[in-house]
Amino acid sequence: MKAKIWTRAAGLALVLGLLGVASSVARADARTDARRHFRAGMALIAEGQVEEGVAELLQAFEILPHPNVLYNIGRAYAESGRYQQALSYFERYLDSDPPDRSEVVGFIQAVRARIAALEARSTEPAQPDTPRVVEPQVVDAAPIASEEEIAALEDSATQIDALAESTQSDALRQRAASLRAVAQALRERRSTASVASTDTGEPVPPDTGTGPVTDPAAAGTGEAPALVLGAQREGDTYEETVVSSSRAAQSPLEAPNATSIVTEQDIRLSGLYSFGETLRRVPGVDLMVTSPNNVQFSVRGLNQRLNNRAIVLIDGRSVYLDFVGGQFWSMIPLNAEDIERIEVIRGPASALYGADAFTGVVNIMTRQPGEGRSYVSAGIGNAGQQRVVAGVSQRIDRFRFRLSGGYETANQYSRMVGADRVDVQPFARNATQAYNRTIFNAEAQLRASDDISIRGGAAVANGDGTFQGLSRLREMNLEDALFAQTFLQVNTSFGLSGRVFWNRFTATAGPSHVRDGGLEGGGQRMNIERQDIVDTEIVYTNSFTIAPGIENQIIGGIGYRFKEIGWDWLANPVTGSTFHTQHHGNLFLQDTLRIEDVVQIVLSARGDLHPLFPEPQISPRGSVVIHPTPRQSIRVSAGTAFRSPTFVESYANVPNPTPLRGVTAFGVGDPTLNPERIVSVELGYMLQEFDFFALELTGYYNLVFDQILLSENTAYRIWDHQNNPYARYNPDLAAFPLGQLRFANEAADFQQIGGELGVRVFPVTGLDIYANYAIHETLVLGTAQTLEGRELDQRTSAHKFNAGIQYRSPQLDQATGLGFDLAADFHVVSDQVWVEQVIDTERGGTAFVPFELPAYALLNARIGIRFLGDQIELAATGTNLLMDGHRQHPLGQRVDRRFMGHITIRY
Amino acid sequence: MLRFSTHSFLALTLAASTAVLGCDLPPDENPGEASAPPPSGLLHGGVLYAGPRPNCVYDGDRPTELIGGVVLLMFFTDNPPPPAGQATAASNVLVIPAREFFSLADCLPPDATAEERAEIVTRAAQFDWPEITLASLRRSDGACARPFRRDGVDRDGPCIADYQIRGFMDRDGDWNPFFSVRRLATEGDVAGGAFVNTSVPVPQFARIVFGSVEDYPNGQVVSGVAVTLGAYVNTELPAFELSGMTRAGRSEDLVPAVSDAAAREQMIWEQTRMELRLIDPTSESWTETLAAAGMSIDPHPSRFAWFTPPVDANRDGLQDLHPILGAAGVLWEHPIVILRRARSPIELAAGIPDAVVIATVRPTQTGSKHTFAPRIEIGVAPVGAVNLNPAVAGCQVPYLAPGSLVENLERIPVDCQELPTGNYDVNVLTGLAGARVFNYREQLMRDQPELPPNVVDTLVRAQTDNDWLAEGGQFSSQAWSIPNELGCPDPYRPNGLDQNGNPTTFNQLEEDRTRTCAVVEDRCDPDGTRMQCAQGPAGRWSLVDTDGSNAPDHTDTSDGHGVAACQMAVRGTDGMTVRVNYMPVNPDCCGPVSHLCNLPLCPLRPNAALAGSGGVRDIRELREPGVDYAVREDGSIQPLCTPFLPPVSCCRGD
Repeated sequence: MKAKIWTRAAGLALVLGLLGVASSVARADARTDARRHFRAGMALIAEGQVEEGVAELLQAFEILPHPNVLYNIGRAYAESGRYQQALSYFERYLDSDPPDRSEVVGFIQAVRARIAALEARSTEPAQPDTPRVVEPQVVDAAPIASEEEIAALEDSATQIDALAESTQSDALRQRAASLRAVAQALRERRSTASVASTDTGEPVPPDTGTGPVTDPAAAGTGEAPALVLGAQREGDTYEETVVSSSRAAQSPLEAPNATSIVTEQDIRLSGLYSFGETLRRVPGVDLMVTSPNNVQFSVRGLNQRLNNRAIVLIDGRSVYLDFVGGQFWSMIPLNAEDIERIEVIRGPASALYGADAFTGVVNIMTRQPGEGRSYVSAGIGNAGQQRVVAGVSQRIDRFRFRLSGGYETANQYSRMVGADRVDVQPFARNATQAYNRTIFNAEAQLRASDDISIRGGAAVANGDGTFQGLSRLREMNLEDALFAQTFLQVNTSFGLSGRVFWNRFTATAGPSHVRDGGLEGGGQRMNIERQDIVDTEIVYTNSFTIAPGIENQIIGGIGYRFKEIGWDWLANPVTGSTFHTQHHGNLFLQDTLRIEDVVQIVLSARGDLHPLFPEPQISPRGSVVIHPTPRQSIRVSAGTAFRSPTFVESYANVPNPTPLRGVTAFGVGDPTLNPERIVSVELGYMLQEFDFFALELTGYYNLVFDQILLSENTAYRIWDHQNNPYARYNPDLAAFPLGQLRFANEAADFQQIGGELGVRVFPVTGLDIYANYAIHETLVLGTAQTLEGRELDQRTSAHKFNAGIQYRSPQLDQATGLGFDLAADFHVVSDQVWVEQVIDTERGGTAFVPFELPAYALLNARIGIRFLGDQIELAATGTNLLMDGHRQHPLGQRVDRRFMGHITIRY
Repeated sequence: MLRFSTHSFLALTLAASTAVLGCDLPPDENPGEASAPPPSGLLHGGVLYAGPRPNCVYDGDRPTELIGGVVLLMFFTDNPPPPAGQATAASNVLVIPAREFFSLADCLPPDATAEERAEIVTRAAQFDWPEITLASLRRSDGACARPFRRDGVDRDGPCIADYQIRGFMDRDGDWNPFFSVRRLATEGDVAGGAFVNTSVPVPQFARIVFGSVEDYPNGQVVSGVAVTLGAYVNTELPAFELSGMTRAGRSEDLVPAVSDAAAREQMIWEQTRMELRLIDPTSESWTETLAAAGMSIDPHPSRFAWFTPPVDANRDGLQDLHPILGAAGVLWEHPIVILRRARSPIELAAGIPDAVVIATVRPTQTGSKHTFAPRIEIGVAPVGAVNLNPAVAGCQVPYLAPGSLVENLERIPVDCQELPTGNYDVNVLTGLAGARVFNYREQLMRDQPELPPNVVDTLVRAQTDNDWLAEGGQFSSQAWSIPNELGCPDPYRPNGLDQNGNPTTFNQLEEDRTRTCAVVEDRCDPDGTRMQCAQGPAGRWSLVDTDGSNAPDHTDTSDGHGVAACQMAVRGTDGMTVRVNYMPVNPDCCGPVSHLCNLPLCPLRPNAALAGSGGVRDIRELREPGVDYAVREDGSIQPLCTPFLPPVSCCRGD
C-alpha cells in the first residue's frame, strides 16, 4: 500500500517535472500574469508608447482587477493629453475609495479645467502655428509645484530607475534622468520663488512624459494652472504580500516566519468550499478530516483530534474557541467566495499573537467590503451535499459594505453504526448528516475622513456538526451550535488603530450514538450555555528613517481579553456553578530595522498576563533576513510560544462513560497546570527571482515542554471518599466514580526536527504547478519517562508530499466569453502512529493505545467552464478520486469519493 | 487548443449529479473498526423486589432522597463467585437507582419501629442492560476465545457467552464497584438473582446465553429475564486481620501422614497457627478509617461474627465435602479462605502463573461450635495449587513438597516440588442471605426454663462465642481481603521508612508488627487518612523457604525434577518406599507456562527487600532487573528465572 502510494507520488512528480522542463515560455498564475502585464504596460508608457502600455495595463486589470491600474491608465492618458479618457479612469479609481482620494479629486478638478479650457479654445479662431502636440515643458504659470509633488516626481524617477535596471532599458534610464532634471528645476525655482519660462533660457527637459506637464493648449499662455500629477501607483500592485507575520503588509521575502499563502485562485480552483481543507497544500501543515465538517490542522506535528495548538484568525480577529481549544471550521461564518487569501504562519508566533499561536497561525483575509463582485452560487452533489450561497458587495462614495450568507449540508463519509444495529441507537438528530450550517455575514466600512476609517461587522453561523472526542462511542455531535462574531475597528493614517470584537459560541454537545440503556443517555448531553470572548487591542505603528538607507518600523500594542464560559462539563463539583471567567492582558512590541534593503532585523516580544499563571508569559522572537538580491532572502529566526490551558483543561468535570453502566470516570481539570512551551529555531531560503519559478526551503528545530494531556486513570483512594467531591456516588448519573483522568503536564520533553521544500513553476500562460515536500521527526528528549506508550506517538507523518496543477484558459470565444479552468491536487502522506486514550476496564479506566494510520493518498480535481467573461460558471469537483478507503485519523471516518456540481453567477 | 462543448459539459455535469444523488446514504463502518463500536448484547428484563421499605435521606421530617439501588452482577456460568468460581470480578455490572422502584412516600421513617422495619413491600422495575460482551472466535484457529465456549458438546457448535445474574438491593447505599471491601452486599441488603424457578428450596441460577459477534454482527437482544431479590442479608462484611499468633508457612511443609483426621487437622493448624481476628469497628482508629471510607460496620453480635454455615458450592442443596479432608468424610463450612500468591506487575507481565494455597476453617472446631467471635482458627493445608491455564478447566495442578505420600502424588496429576514461596493475599468469603439469626441463649432459656444458668452457659458456649446462631440461608458472597484499600495503598511492595527515616520494607508476619506498621502508617498516609497497616501488604500471609536444599533442578526432566524425595516416596498403606508413578498433566494446560521451562529458579532472597531480616524467611520472586528478568525492546518482560518450576511433564512434553 505504502509503496503504491509513493509510486503514484513519484509518477505524478515526474509528470509535473517534465511539464516544467518541456515548457520554454515563462508565464505565471493569475496574480503573476497580471503583474507581468502591469510591468510591461508601465514600461511602455514610460517609453512614451501610451497606447501599447495602456493595452497591457487593461490586460492586467482584466486578469486581476486592481484600482492602481486604473489610476495609472488615467495618469498615462492625462500625460498624453487625452483628458476625457483620463477623467474616466480617475473617476473609476475614485470609486474604489482609495486612501489618496483627496489628491485624486484635485487631479480630476485640474483635468476638468483643462477640458474646459480646451473647449473654450476650440471656440476661438484657429491658430495655424499652434502645435498639436508639444513636448512637455515646465509651466511658468503659478502656482509652482508643491514640495510633495516634487517628491512624487523624484519617487517616479526612482521607480523608473529600478525598472530600467531590471529591464536594462536605456530609454527608461533617460526618462528617469529627465524626470530628475524636471524635479530639480522645479525645486530650484521653488527655492528662488521665481517664475520661469522656457524663454528664460533654463534647460528644457527633452522628454518628461510624467510629472508636472504643460497643457499643450495652455503652454506659455498662463491661462490654466499646471497639471501636476502624483507618482505612479506601482508600490504593491500585484505584489504578493502578507500581513500576518509582522502585523504589517510585507513581502513573504521579508517575513520573519515561514509564511505561505493560499490564494483566492487556489481556493476557487480547488473546488473545496470547506476552505479549511485547502490548507493541505501548504508544506508542513498537518491536516486531517475525520468527518466532512471536522477539519483539524496543525503545523509541524502536535496535531490532535481537536487541535488547540494553532489559531485561526479572520482578518486578524481570532475565532479560537478558548473553552475547548481549537475551532470548528464549519462554524466559521464565511463563504469561501469572500476570502481573498489565507495566510499561514508556520512555526510559533506568540511574540505577536500570544497564547495558542503555538505551532502556527492561519489568518483568513477576506475581501474588503465593496471589493470584488457580487455572486450567487448553488451546488449539489452526492452524499447529500447541498450548498447555496450569495454575496453582495457595493461601494457608495465613502461607504462600502458586503453582505453574504448561505446554507450548506453534507452527509457523513460513513455511519458509525448501521441502521440495523440493535444495541446502539442514534442520539444525534440526524445520524446520517455530517453537518448543516446557515451563515450570515455583514461588514461595512466608512472612510470618515482622509485620516480615519471605520470598519465593523457581524457574522453568525448556526447549525449541527460532529467531531471526535474521548467518548465511549468517540463520535460527538454539536446541535444548534451558534458562533457569532461582532467587531469594530478604527484605523488612522497617523499609525494608531484599535479594534474590539466579541465572539459568542453556544451549543449542545453529546455523543452521536448511545448504547441503549447506557450511561451515554440524557446525562451526557451537555449544554454549552455560552462562551463569550471580548477582545480589545490598540496598536501603534510608526516608521522613520534613522540614517540614509536605514529605516526603522515600530509596532506596539496593548490588549485585553475577557473570557467567560458557562458549560455543564465545567461544573464546579462543590458549588455547582458552571460559569468561569478569566481576564487576560497583553503588551507587545516589535521593532524592524532595514538596512539598505539588504538586511532586515526584527525583534519582537510579547508579555501575556494569565489569571492562572503567577508570572507573566514572555514570548520573544528574533529574526534576521538577508537579501542577496532583491528577490531572494535568507532568514534565520528563533522564537518561543506558549499555549495556555483551555477551560476544559483547567476546570473540566466530565463524567466519562465506561462499558459498565453505573460506573464512570471523571475527566478533571487542573487550574495549576503549566502552559505548554515551544522554542523554535528556523532557517529559511526563498527565491522569487523569476516569473516562472519560485522556491522555498526551510529547516527547523523545536523543543517542546510541558505538553498538556489527559493522564491515565487514577483510582480513588480511601482519602478521596472522604475529601474529594468527585469521588461520591452521582445520583444524577446513577453512577459510581471509578477514578479521575486528570489533565497533567507531560513529564518528558520532546524535540522536533524537520524541513520543507516547495517549488512553484509557471511554464505557459495560465498554467500553474506547485509541489512541496516536508519531512518531520519527533523524539523524546533525554531520558525522562513519558506516559506509557506515548513514546510511539507521532501525530503527523514523517513524509508529506503535495503537488498540484492549475490551468486557466484564455477566453476561447469572444461571443460567449467562453473559457475553462482545470485543477488537480494530489497529496500523499506516510504512515503515522497515534497514541490515543481508550476506555480500559482491565487497567482501571483509560489507557494509551497506539493506533497505526497507514499511508494514504488523496486526489482532488475540478473542472470549471466560464461564460460571458466569467459572469457565469459551471463547475464540477471530485474529491478523493483515488478512493483508496483511507482514514485521516485512526478513529476518523473512512473518507469516501464525492462529486459536486456548482453554478455560479458573478456580477 | 482544447475543444470544448458547452452542451456536453452541461449534460455531463447534470447527469453525474443526478446519478450520484440517487445513492447518497453513507456506508456503515465495519463493527469494531475505528470509531464503530463492536456489536454487543442488550438484555431486557425486570427486577422483582420483595423486602423492607427503602432508607432515605431526611430533612427534618421530610424525606428528600432515596438511598441505594439495585446492583446486578453478571458472571460467567463457568466462573461464578466462590466457592464454585475463581473469585474473579463480575464481567458486567448494572446499577438501577432506588428511584426506579420507590417513591419518597415509601421511605422508611428514620425512627422506624420494628414492625415497620419488618414490613415487606413488593416493587418491580424494568431494566435495559447494555454492552454485554458477545462471544467471539480466536482468529488464529477459529476456536472460541476465552472465556467463551461452544454451545453443547459439539465442537462445531456456535460460540456462546453463558452468563448468570446475581444481585442485591443495596439498601444502605454503601456499595462501590471499585472499592473491594465495599463491592458486595452488607447487612441490611436484599440479595437474589435470576433463577430458573424461585419456588424450589435451592433455586438454580438461570443461564443467560448470548451468541457471538460473528453470528450477531448487529448486536443481540435477549429479553424476558427476571431477577428476584428477596433474601435479606443478615451479616456484615467479615472485616478481619491476621492475629499475631499466625506464622508464615514453610515451602517444605507436608500434609501430615496420620490417619486420624482430627490429629491431622491439628498438625496442619500447628504448621501456621493461622487465626483470623475480627476488627473492632468501635475502636477510635477504626472508626476514623471506616468513616473515611464511607463505611459503617454494625458490630452487633447478630451480624458481625464468624458464622459457619455449610458450603454448597455446586448448589445441589447438599453440603459439600471439605476440599482437603473430604476424603475422610469431613464436610466443608464457611468461611471460605483462599490464599493467593501476590504477583508483582513484573511477574504478571512475565507470565508467572497464579498459585493459591487452600485454607479452611478447622472442621473439628466447627463440629460443635457454629459462631466464632472475634477469632476463628484456620488450617492451611500445605498444598500449592498452580493454575497453569485459566482458559482450560481443570488446570489447577497441586504442588506437593518432597516427602509427600505416594498416594498423594499418584492420585491425580500433581507436581512434586517445594510450594511456591512468596507473599499471599488473604481472601475470606462468607455471608448469609435469607438466614434466620437468633439468640441461642434466649431461645434455650425460653424453651428450657428449668436449666440452671451454669448449664445454659455451658451449652451456649459450646455452640457460640456470642450467644447468636444462624440457620438456613444462602451464601451471599460477602468478602474481605488483605490487602485492601483501608491499608497502605502500595499494591505490591510497600515503601516504608525505618526508624532513621530511610526507605525500607518489612516482613509480612513480623513478630513486632506494631513498630513497623506504625512507620508504614505514617508513610502511606499523606492525606491524613488513618490507614490500617494490617489491612495493607503488611497484613499478608507468607510462604517462605527456610532450607533451599530440596529445591528442584530445572535441568532434570525426570519425575520429581530429580529430587530424590519426589522420585522415591513412602507409601502410606504399607510404609514402604517405592518409586512414584506420576500422572502427566493435561498437555492443554501447559501452553501458558512453556516459556518458563529451562529457566532456573530465582534465587532465594530475604522477604524484606533490605537486609536485616535474616535468611529464615527467604522467598523466590522476580525482583531484580537484569538478573531475574529483562525488558525487551517492545517493552515486554522476559523472565530470566522463575519463582517455581512448571510441572516436569509440561517441560518434558508428555
